[in-house]
Amino acid sequence: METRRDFLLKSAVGLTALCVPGLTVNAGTLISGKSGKILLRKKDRILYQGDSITDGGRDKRMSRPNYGKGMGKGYALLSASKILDEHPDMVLNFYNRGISGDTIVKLKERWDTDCIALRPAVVSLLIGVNDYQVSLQATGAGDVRKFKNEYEELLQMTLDQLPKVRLVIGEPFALNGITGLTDNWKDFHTYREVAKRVAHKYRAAFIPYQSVFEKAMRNAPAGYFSTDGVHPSLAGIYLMSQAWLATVRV
Amino acid sequence: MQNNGKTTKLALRREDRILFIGDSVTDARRDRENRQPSKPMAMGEGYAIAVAAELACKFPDMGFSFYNRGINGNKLFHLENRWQADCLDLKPTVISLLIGINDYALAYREDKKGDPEQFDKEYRALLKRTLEALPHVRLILGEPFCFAGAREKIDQFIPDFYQYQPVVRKIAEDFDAAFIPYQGIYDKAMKGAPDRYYSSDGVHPALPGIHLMARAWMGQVEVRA
Repeated sequence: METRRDFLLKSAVGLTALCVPGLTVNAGTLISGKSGKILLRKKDRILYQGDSITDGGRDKRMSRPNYGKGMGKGYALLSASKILDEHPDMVLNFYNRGISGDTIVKLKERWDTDCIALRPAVVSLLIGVNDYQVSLQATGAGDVRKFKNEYEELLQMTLDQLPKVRLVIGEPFALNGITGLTDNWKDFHTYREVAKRVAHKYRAAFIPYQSVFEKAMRNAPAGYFSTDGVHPSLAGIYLMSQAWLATVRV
Repeated sequence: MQNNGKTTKLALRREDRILFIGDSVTDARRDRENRQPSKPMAMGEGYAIAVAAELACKFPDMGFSFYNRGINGNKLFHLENRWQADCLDLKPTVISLLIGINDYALAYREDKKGDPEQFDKEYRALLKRTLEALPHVRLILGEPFCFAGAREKIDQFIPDFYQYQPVVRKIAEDFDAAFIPYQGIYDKAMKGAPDRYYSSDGVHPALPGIHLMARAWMGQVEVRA
């Protein structure tokens, strides 16, 4: 009988000449299902948008694309760097405009400057955790209808200005049992469902981060992939970058 | 230049404490207040975070911890001055060192040429001290690099600067360290890329250079249970 370890040994990819193969962290294993992929074309301008997870402590004074210090210390840095290294002929430009603490309302306020004006061909969006927290603090529960309406307004605003833009929507995620921060987020799953539904409605590629993390948690505890249930750890940013890369094709 | 096979791959083992140290290329705007291991903010925005994140994610059972103590502008004497606190006290089992471009720039400022003998002497003294304090530490040494065509200031270093590269390679051989031939890997990648794609200033990696350096680093290690 083939053990899990045998399977891992056989399916190892990545490093050469490994004595320990490591986990296979790639498209096939992370994301099952048939959600569409986004095609990156020559000279595309690719924008990462969202909250602190996307921000990653980036240098906000760096407005030019393709600089390490403008990309933060997160999945945006890792995914953009890899694509650029592997496809120098594509002349791609990556921007990060994530801002820590942002909700959809805050994104809307800065959308003209931090999205439309950049004329992106691809917009990658990961938002929802702060929207949920704001509502939870105010009313003790999420307001999923408000979240859905605002999300759709933002996407409609984007498509009105940039009719040909391609969208990537990341599922907001929360991992329980680490610091307790997310443990009473009883109806947070409804926000995840909204992200999935709007992705479908607006023909966006969808990154199922929640299940990506849950699959990874078979190999290590939640606290290995996130520091507090919301922010990814070192291992978590690599995991997210691989999931992001799995939803695009060059 | 290709790795001539005389240097060996570095084995990463269970519970390894891996320290990245060097100049701005390693520092990469890390949060210096955050001294905890394996925190993204403490790892900077360079090859160190790319390497550490990949190893952490692919090898959750290995129990690795990662430290970055690169400081921009550093030369060997800066490292010498802070070596106790920023290296030896951390008790690393693996040290990844990338240093040399600022040593060259200082020599050039004074003499219009490099001083590879001095560089060799200081580099060996630092490693000798390291091995006396940490006899079992494993070393991985990065080849210092720079590129023509981005800035006149850097163009003046070339080709004289390239004398510093065989110095590091020879030290790696003599100290049984792994060696990362960054210059050759960059030069090869740059042939297929637009001007200044991998480095806008001839010294610091641009975004694609971060992944290039991480894959070059990973190419010189193997993980052993």
